[in-house]
This record gives sequence, structure tokens and C-alpha cells, in this order.
Amino acid sequence: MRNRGIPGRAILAMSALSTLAVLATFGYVCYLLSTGASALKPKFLLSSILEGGILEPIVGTLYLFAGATAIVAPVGTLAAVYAIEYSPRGKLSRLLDGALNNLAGVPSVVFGLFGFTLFCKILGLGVCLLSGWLTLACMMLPFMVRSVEEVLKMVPESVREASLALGATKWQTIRHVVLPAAAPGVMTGIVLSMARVAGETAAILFTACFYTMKGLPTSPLDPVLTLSYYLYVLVMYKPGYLDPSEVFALALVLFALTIALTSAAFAIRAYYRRRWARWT
Amino acid sequence: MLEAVGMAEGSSKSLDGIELVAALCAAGSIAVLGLIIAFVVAEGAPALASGILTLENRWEPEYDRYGLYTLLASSIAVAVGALAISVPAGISSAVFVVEVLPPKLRDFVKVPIELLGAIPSVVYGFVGYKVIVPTISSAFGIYYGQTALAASLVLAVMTVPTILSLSSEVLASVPLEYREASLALGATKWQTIRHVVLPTATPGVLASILLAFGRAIGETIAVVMVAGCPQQLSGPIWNLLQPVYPMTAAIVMGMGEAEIGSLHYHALFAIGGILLAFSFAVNAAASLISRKASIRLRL
Amino acid sequence: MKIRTVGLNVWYGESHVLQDVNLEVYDKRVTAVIGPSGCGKTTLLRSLNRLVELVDGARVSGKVLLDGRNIYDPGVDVTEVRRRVGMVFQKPNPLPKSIFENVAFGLRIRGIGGEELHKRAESALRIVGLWDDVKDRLHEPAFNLSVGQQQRLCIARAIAVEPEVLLMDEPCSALDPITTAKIEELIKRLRERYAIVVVTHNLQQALRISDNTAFLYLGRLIEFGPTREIFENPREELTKAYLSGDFG
Repeated sequence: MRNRGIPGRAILAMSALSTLAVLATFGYVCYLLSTGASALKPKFLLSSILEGGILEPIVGTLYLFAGATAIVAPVGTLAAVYAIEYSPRGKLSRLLDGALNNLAGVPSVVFGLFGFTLFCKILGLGVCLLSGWLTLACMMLPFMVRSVEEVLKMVPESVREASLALGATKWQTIRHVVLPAAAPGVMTGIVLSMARVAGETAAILFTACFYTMKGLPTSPLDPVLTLSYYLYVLVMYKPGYLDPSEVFALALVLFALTIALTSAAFAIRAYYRRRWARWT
Repeated sequence: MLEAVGMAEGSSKSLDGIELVAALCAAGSIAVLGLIIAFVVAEGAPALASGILTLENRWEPEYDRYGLYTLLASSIAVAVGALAISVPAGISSAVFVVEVLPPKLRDFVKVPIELLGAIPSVVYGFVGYKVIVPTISSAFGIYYGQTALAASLVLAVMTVPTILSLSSEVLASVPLEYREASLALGATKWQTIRHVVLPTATPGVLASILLAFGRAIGETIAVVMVAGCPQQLSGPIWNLLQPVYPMTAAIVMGMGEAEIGSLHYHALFAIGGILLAFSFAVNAAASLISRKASIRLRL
Repeated sequence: MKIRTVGLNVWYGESHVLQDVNLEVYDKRVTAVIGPSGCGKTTLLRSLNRLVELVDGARVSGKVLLDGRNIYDPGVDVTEVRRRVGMVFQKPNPLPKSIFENVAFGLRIRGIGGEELHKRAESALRIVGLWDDVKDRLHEPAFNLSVGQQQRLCIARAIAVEPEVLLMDEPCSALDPITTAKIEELIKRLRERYAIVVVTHNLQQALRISDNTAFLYLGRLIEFGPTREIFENPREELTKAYLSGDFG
């Protein structure tokens, strides 16, 4: 502790450097992927993979996470409503909290094994969109529930009391007062979960995807291609199929999609955090 | 009055209904975790029971060789290598962001960092494959750049955001009172950070490291694209320039080929069980340490 | 005169918190700073050891002369100022370390260790009357002490670095009456060694322990003088009104 100035400056330098390194890494990844921008032509985006395009992966990705979100949004919201509104100190709520923490840490490939066993095998759905929806919905649960819980906790108690004092039932209070106030949190949860699974590969690798040339899925019982899966397949099994710049373009689309969703989620969250901070 | 009573009764019926549905959703979420454990155990148990799993350094399902050493050593080597880079980088960056940067810059800098953590693993694997693998190949003069080093580098980039974000949160929540007390005694800013802030934040930072370790072990796609996936480790565990075969990669490569119900199939679920156990252990340890952190932070 | 402020002004952003304060603090005397809540008492205290700089957007103009030298001069080592002008906070804030390490902290960061460290730590603990209570448990966490003991520990911590001035921000407001009496006794003893400035909202306390009193209202120093005179014969109407409880 003797020399008070010098170690301070050394630590400052080192910490500044590492921050710069982290930022530079992000910058480099952006730069690298942008080399694919040249191949981002409408023809590439809209033609089938049989013609060197990525239409099926784009549509497949949209189908997949739209369905998964449609399942997880109501279930996750209701679970959060139960934990915060109906039974904040109950045993089930505490169990839920612990279960969600552990669920969030489960590796995605284990989700794949789970989904394969339950949905593909036991429920007999086979490798298809529906299995993917259900598997992904399970993966998204912790993020969805936590986002909704966060915003429900922000709604001040006084608002609920006012509603109940006017004679509303608990559910009416939730439906007409709390949930509308919590809507941004639900939105964040949805968008965050979508961001999380838009790029997911391992969980759907053997539950929803099949490298098939059958075209777009016509029913939920068809397998599907996603951007992430297609990129994986191209790198691992078909390195020469597309031009390098086109593969970069594919990665760029996926990257841009994830960044857009994540940024949207953060923006919504920042908005309502500020709004509620002023309220309380 | 009667009307009110009637309405109340009717409403309480729908209240029970909604509450029940909500409770079912909560219970269902818990059930998911239970089912994951149940299935992994059920499908993995036959592999354990039949004794095909050994600890030898050879994972070749085609020849009925299920030596776990290859997979375990690979996972650990890659994760440790990743943390060796991401822990110092993450913690020192967190110190910089929280202690040095003015608040407005702080919010600005946090954006690319959080986005870095949101990038899908397949994109990381792709970048690793295109950039890191050839670089290693030419820098070290080896033919295949797919090595533990490549996987560690990719995982390092993927885990830095975890450590950075969590450590930042912990550092920022060290109470102002401690900092004020230290400064009022004439300590410099860095002395305060070194002797008061960091020691107080240590449990929380440790928890973030544990979680990053869990993520590194559980990462699948990024590693399978750059790690090499050989049948056995040709060198000692600390040799980062050899191709490696982490557990997660083995599952992905294996599920494409294994017949349902075969020994290989069950072995893969057994690996899944090991991964699950790892993630639970990491979570439990992180929770325990976090609780200790809350005490120090007087939350 | 130990400390003199000349035209001291403090802004927090747009808010003009202290206006043209000319305060005199005498050595080996207790100066009480009284006034209603929110009138700048704490800000005044914190501008005497430059802790006010920690607030985002804080601006200071004017001079604070410690033994004739302005502590806000560009060349001044702020950490040395803070050693010479120690502070005790309203809510006891022991560091999350052991009892001994709390007292030793200010010395360790200056490179003092070994014999000297132990000697000065023990001396500080004796002065505040804690030594007998804690000598057998010096390595227990400071949080194990009662609130009153924690506050005394914070005082010991501040005097271990041998300051010349002690700033005390409502040191007894978190304590019960019996402990308060003990701390007031301690302050009277400390008066023999240091210049002490005590912010208090408790008028009886000011009367009990201080030699001089400064009355602050909405950021302005309304009146300053010997405690007796201020309380018995205040010159300003505002002072009179405050002392008779017309507003708080």
C-alpha cells in the first residue's frame, strides 16, 4: 500500500485496455459479418435453398419462433401472475423460482434430448415444427416468467389496493389494472425469449429440423429449416455449396435478426423501468 | 345488496378458475424441469447399467467404445481455457465500466457488451471456423486448426459478457457507505476499490465466474464447429493444440447416427445426465455464494 | 482559527445549495451547526473535507482555508486533506472487516504497519472507550457490535490517523438516549485534542456540548457566535424563530 499513485495507474490502464478489447471484439464480429452484405440481394433472400437462396430457412425461423412464442407467452405470463399476484409467499411459487433458476442453466442440447424423448418419441410427433415449438417453449419459460415477474413487482401495491377498494375482484384487478400496466414487461419477455431462440440450434437439431429438400412446411407436423440450422449444416457438411460471401450473408441475416430482437427488448425494458421509477 | 352478493359469488367462481389455470401453468413449468430430469435419467440408466461406460480415453461408438475420459477432459480443458481469458478480461472491464466511466458513457458501453452476449452460438462457431481455426493453423504450423485453443477462444468471447454484466451489477451494488467511509479516511479511489469494493464484491463475482463456467461446459454448437471431435485425446489434457471432443459435441454428433434404443443412444443420454448434473451443481454453488454476497452487501 | 470558509458556494447541478457561507471553526472547540432539515448542514460539512465532490454535478466556489491554506487549490492532495479533516457519519458505517481492521484501515493505506499500527489502533480504541469491550475480540466482524459501539468504532477509526479536525454529521441521531449521552461525553473529551464540528438537529444537544454555534437556513449562514449568546440572545429574527420552535 506504500506507493499510492502507481498501482492505481497500472490498474486503470489494464482495465481500460480490457474494456477496449471487449468492444473491439464486438466491432470485429460486426465488421466480419458485414462482408456478407454484398450477397444480400433479394434473389438470395427469396429463392429456395435448391437455387442457392435462403427462403426456407427464413420462413422456417419465423414459423418456429412465432409458434413457440405463442405457446410460452400465455403460459409464462400466467405462471408469473400466479407467483406474484395470487400466491407470492406460497410453496408452489418458491418451487417455481428454484425450478426456473435451474431451468435457465440447463444446456440447450439437453433440452434437445428432452424434447426428442417427450415430443418426438413418446407423443409420437416425430421430428417436426410442433415438437420444435414445444421444446423451445420449454427453453423460453424462465426468461418469459422472469420478465413478467419483474414488471409485475414494479406495479405499486397502492394501485391494486385502489382497485380492490372499489369492489373489483382479484382477477378483475389483475386483468384490467395490473396486466395492462405490466404489458411492457410481457412484451419484453416475448421479445427477449424470441431473441434467445432465434439463433437456437442445438435444441431443434434433432427435434424439429431435417435437412430435407421438401420445401416449406405445410403443416405443424412437417420438419423445418431455420437460419441457424442451415448455417450449421453448411459449415459442417456442405462447405462448398454456397459462395463464401453468401454464407457470410446468411450469418449476417441471423446476426442482424438477433441483434434487432435483443435491442428491441432492451429498449422496451429501459422504457418501462424509467416509467415506473418516476411513479414510485 | 343481493345483486352484489350474487356478483361476488359469480366472480369468485371465475377467480377460482383463473387462479387454478395460473397455478397449473406454474406447476407445469416446474414439471418441465422434473420431466427433463426424469427422461435423462430413464434413458441414460440403461447405459450405466450395462457397464459400457468406462473412463478410458476412447470414444468410438462404432466400435462400442464409450470411454468418458475423452469427453470429460475435453469439456473441462476447453472451459478452463476459456475462463483463463474471460475472467481477467471480464472482471477488469467491469471495474473500468463501473468505477471509472461516467454514468452516461457507462450506459453507452453496456450496449455492445450485452449484444455480444446475445449473438447466437452458431454465428460464433461460424466466425471461429472462418477466422480462428485458420489463424491457429498458420500460427502454430499445424494442419487442422480445430483444437481446444480454438474452442477456448470462442467460448472466451461468449462468456465475457456473462462475467462482465454480473460483476458490474455486483460492483455497482457495493453500498455507498463503505466507499464514503474509505474515502473520508483519505484513501485514494483505487485503494478504495482494491481494499473495500473488490473484497465486498468477491462472492458475487465468484458466482458470475461459476455461471460462466456452467455456460462454457454446456455450450454445444460453437464448440462442435471448431473443436475437431476426434475419437481420443492424443495428448495430455493441458495441450490446447490438439483436437478435442467435448461432451456436448458428442451428443450432437451422436444423435445424428444413433439408432433409438441402441446402446449408443442410451450412452448419449447418460452424457446428458452428466451435463445436467454439472449445470445443477453450478447453479447451486452460485446461489449459495450469492446468498453470502447479499449478506456482505447488507441487502 | 483552524478552518475558515470564505464565500463558500455549492451547487448540485442547478440547485444552489450553499450560498456565500463564511464560517469560522476554532481549534480545540466544538462548533455546532444547527438549522432545519434540508438547509445544507450536511453539504457544509462535506465541503470541509471535499467529500462533496463525490456527488455527480457538484460545483464548489469560494475558499475553505485549513490553517490558512485553501483545500480546493489545484495542487492540494485531497487524500491528505481528508486525513487531517476526519469525518463521522450519521449512520455508523463500519467497513465489512474485523473490528481491528476497521481502526487500522486509515493507517494501512498509508503504509503504516507492525508495532506502530497496533499502538495507534489501541490508543484510538482506548480514547473512545471501546478498548476494554473489544480487546479480546479484535478479529470479529465489526457488524457484531451494537449500533452505539459501531459509532464509537467509526470515531476511533477517524482518530487513528491523527487528524486535526473532526466533522460529525448528526453522530447520535441513530442512537438511543443512553448511548447518546456517552458519545456526548466522548465529544467533550475529544475537544481537548481536535477542532470539532457537529451537525445536529437537537438544540439541547447543541447547548450541551458546543462552544460556538452556526445557524444555517436554506443554504445561508444566518448567524454565528458563542453558543450561550446565540441561544440566550439571538440577533436575527430567523434565529429567534427557529430556536423557539416556530419551524423545524
